[in-house]
Amino acid sequence: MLKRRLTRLLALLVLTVPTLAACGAGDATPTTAPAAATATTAPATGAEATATTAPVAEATATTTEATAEPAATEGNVLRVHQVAYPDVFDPQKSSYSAEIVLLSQNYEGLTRLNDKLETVPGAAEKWESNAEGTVFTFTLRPDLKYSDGSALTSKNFAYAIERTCDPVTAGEYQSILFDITGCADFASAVVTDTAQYDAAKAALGVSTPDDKTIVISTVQAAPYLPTIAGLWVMYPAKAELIEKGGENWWKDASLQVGNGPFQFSRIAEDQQIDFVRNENYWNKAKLDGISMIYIDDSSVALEAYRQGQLDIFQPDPSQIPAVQSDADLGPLYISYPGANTTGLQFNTTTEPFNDPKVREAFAYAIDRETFCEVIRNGDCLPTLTWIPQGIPGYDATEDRFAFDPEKAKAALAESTYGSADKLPEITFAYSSNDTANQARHEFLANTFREVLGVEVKLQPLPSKDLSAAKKDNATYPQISLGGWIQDYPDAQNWLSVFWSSKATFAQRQGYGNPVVDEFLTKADTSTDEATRLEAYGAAQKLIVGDLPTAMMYNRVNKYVINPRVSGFSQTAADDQFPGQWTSYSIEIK
Amino acid sequence: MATASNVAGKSPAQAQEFTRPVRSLWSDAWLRLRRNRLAMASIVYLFLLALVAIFAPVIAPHSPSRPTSTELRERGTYRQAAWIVDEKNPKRSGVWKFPLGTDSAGGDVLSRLIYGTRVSMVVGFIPMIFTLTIGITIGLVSGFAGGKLDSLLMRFTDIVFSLPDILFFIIVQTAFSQTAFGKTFNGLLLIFLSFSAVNWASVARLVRGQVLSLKEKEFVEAAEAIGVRRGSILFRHILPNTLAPIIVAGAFIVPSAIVTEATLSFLGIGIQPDTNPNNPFPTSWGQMILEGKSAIDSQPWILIASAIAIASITIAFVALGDGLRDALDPRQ
Amino acid sequence: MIGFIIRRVLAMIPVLFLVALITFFMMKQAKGGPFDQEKEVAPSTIALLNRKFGLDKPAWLNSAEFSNRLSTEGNPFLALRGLFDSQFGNYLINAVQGDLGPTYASKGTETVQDKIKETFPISLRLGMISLAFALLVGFPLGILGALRQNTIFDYFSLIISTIGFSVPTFVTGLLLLLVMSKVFDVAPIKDPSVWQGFSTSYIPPAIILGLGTMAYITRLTRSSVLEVKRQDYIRTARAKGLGDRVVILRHILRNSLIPVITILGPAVAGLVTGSFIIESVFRVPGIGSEFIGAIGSRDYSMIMGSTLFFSLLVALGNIMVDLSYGLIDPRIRNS
Repeated sequence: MLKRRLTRLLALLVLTVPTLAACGAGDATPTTAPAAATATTAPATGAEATATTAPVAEATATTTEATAEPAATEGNVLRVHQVAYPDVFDPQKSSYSAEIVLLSQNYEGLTRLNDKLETVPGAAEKWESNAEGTVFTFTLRPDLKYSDGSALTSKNFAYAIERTCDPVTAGEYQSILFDITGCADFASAVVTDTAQYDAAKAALGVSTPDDKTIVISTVQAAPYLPTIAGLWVMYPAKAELIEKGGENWWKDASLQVGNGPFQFSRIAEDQQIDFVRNENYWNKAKLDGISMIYIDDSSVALEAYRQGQLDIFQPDPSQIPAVQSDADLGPLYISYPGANTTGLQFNTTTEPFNDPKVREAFAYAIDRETFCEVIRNGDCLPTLTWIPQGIPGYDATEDRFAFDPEKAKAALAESTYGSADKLPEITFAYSSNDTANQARHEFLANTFREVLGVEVKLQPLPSKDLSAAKKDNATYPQISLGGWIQDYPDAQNWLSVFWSSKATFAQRQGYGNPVVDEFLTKADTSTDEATRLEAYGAAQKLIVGDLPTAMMYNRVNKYVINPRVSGFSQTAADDQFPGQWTSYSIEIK
Repeated sequence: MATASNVAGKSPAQAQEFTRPVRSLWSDAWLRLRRNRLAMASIVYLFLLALVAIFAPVIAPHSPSRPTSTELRERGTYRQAAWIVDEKNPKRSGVWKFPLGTDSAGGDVLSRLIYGTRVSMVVGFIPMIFTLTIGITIGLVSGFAGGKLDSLLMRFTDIVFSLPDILFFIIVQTAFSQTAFGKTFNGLLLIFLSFSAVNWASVARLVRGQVLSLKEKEFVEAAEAIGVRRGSILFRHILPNTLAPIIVAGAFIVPSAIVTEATLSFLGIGIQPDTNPNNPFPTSWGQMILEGKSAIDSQPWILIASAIAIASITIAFVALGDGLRDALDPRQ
Repeated sequence: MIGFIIRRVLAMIPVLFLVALITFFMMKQAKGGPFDQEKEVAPSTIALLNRKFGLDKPAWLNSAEFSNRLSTEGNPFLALRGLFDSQFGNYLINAVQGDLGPTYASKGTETVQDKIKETFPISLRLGMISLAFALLVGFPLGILGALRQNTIFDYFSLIISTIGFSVPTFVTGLLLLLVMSKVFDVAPIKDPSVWQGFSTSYIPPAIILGLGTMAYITRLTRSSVLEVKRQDYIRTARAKGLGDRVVILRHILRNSLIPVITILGPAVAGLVTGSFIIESVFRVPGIGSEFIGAIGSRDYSMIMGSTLFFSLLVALGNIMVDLSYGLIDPRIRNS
């Protein structure tokens, strides 16, 4: 008898790596945590019950406890479906949007975003800068308290900056504070060289004249600094608790004492994270709590929603047709443009895409409408420009390179190659971690064959491999889908961080345009808002025309929301749940 | 394990003394197999599947590749199976033009299912041949040579036998699927080789065991006594007598290889996609299950159809394997 | 007997070494490191992370460190430790001491052995329940089939066992899930703590997981009972005038159990290690789900650690087979 081990030893790898908060590849939906995740309906008000080994009796006890909980309490907890369980939710180390959404409930920076994504006072009630825009003075609100009642001072914010720039922390978003004087030097200091390390730490351009004031100086004019001051790296986690908990401090809800609208109350790894309202927050939230329920299998999540176990459900693109056809769910489905842009990224230094006419031919050949409506089931909206709708700097007038087979063919004929059969072999790389990618890329490859007569070779790569290849212009794929997910709503984050010839992202694609650089420098350092927007607009026109990327679409934020939930705003940056940036205003009837 | 040696070992002269008409092991086995209804049904089913695989372009109502814009708009994605009506969304309502509906990129599910048969057939038989070749060679050499060579080969076989195979496949696929070699033949070659590299061990053990017991048999002694050369003994006397258990083993390797491919494809690390419309292996059932799993809410028939296809082909092969074992083992 | 066990345990060492070697080699083939992300990470950060995880050392042999120590210490045997101050060498040295290293996904805040300790009990429970299922269903089904050969019972047991034996578990698992959610409306979300003890949530995944083993046991029992039924001593027992009950219980069952017992060792190992697909399909937070996650995120230490751990289980399972053969068959024991 042959040993039949095969049928028994099987495995599942439908996993994708969560997208970064910024700049994720546009073709990777932020899905599927590696570990399996089931979650509970138990309300958030329970004591900190981390999932430890419990005997059967205790397991059943928890279940009964859940049902015995007063209905009123349960009614006021928002149960949000989350797809991927985060790796790290330490303010100074996090980088994914699924991590940031948690931190932004628990903490608040000096500033915050309002329901129109404008930068408004957060922990700081006001701020001012010097005339050059290089020194910013923030004044904190009076009587600020952490959720445990302890005082929150400017020192706590200074610590956040210091910890972010610290080479020992080595967080992935370290460089976002490099505008702050001394931060870049500190980050590259050699840890073992104590003298150099201490000197670099002391040279950091942050000071706290008193408990209510923090002064931040920047290396050059940075009019967007107040927006950066609201980012997660600036969240004031308490130094003594971080030291107490060691590397894993952030896993312990009792150490994550925050100053945000809600407070971590229970962290059950891979399953559920509960928040309760922070009674000390200056703008008291209306909900009693929020439960983030992690379910990586979207079918299970849909079923859970149907059975009333979730208030907000994030459908997978493959479920949109089923949701829309469903008599109950159809009317509850909402979708609106997100703060991300995906396009066909070219390696502009390799053949044949070093020829602008070939890039033009490909840009004209993409049927963005059919792609979004049919292939992605309405999961995205076609776009021809870089900055998405709803973000300062959006260019509604852009109409170049819309789908046009004739122009596509003409552009290819005008190229140095002259015709499709003279082109070198073209490979189209994509992440194989998302199952849906194959169908999407097959469609695009078919379109290129039909419109241009070009045979494009598909190259599915594990997302880690793809990221590694995209790190260097020499290995950058000839064509691939990708783009940017916003860190903060300022045109600077969209244009200067990505397309300046000094930016790594532009360098990887082999792109650099001195005229663009000039406009960007002008816009970045100007303190006049109108001048900034005008210069950014000019730069964007040039970038879109240069076609380092053929712009394709903005993915939408899409949710099924229980009608009992109200008071949530809809912003482009809601990639985890609607109204996530102003969750204090959400209500449940 | 089946030992057919005592029957097959009879010389024709001996057999003539029986009153029954002359029957070889093989015709005897065939008779027994024909009486096994489940096995016969399996043979018919597998024969039909083979026809489907060969004549896929004739049978399939549409091309298995995904359509381009113009055609896609008419087909729609996630169109339901023909008998399911979706009133709210006419683009998804079933039509008989696409009997099992369409998939996430507007591909016709039935046509893709039909083409998927090809991968299953190829992936079942080729690794079986590889596996048997390696396993028989090592088993014969080891068993017949004996001594140091035997113990060396068997230690090696033991090590391979203890490898957790599916882990090995996953790691091999992760490491090599991006190399030129890993892409050969849509990645099928890599699957064949990694499968055979692990599974020959059980065949080798089996064959060695057979050889060891056959070496002690009288007819081998007799052959040695009359001075037949060793090579001749090995190939004319021993090998034919190990055939019956090898055939049974082979019959079980086929479904096991099919399941391996389906599993790896289901994990997204099996066969690789190719948009060339002339590719004879555009998709596999494992890939369809993977796609069907994520489309379970919008178009359940992608999953149902491919799951039934995989289940039925493996059941048929196992039933055939059982039938062959019963037929070739005269004690039952 | 003890010598036999010692020999077998020693024979595990080359297997485990080979597994470690192959896994490490393969992982080095794959492109993309654990810290590759699309966002630009400062080179100093990467360097720091690499140093923290010892990835700044050579992969296989550290000849620089070897010659360095050779010149400072002069003792070539002590300097050998320097030669193995490589990623692979350090890994093996630590692994032997039970330290499988930090996981990359947690950025070094958790060790692989912690993860295994946390998730393995869940997989083990799942495996035990499915084994119980396989035995409780497989054994009677096999006996029934054999005692009532060629009746409707026999065909039923044959069909069940053929299906269980041939259909891949992920297919049956997905179909069961489909039926459960679409037909029976079973609540999918469970309290996280249900996995921490034995609970009913384990039943559906355990049944699917145990299906293959159950089918195998059924088939084995059936053929074993058929074999025993033909033996002379059964004929003798019947000739003596013993009743059906006595013959079946005392003679047939007792003797036909033996081959079934021998497969239990590998069955346990197979069930525990074979659960990854089922764990993912049914979202059981066991070691299988963890392994699959590690593959996707290129968490080398987690992949290496769990592969070694799985291999150890499989090897132990194989030893148990040989032992049980030895216990039952004196000819093997003495050889």
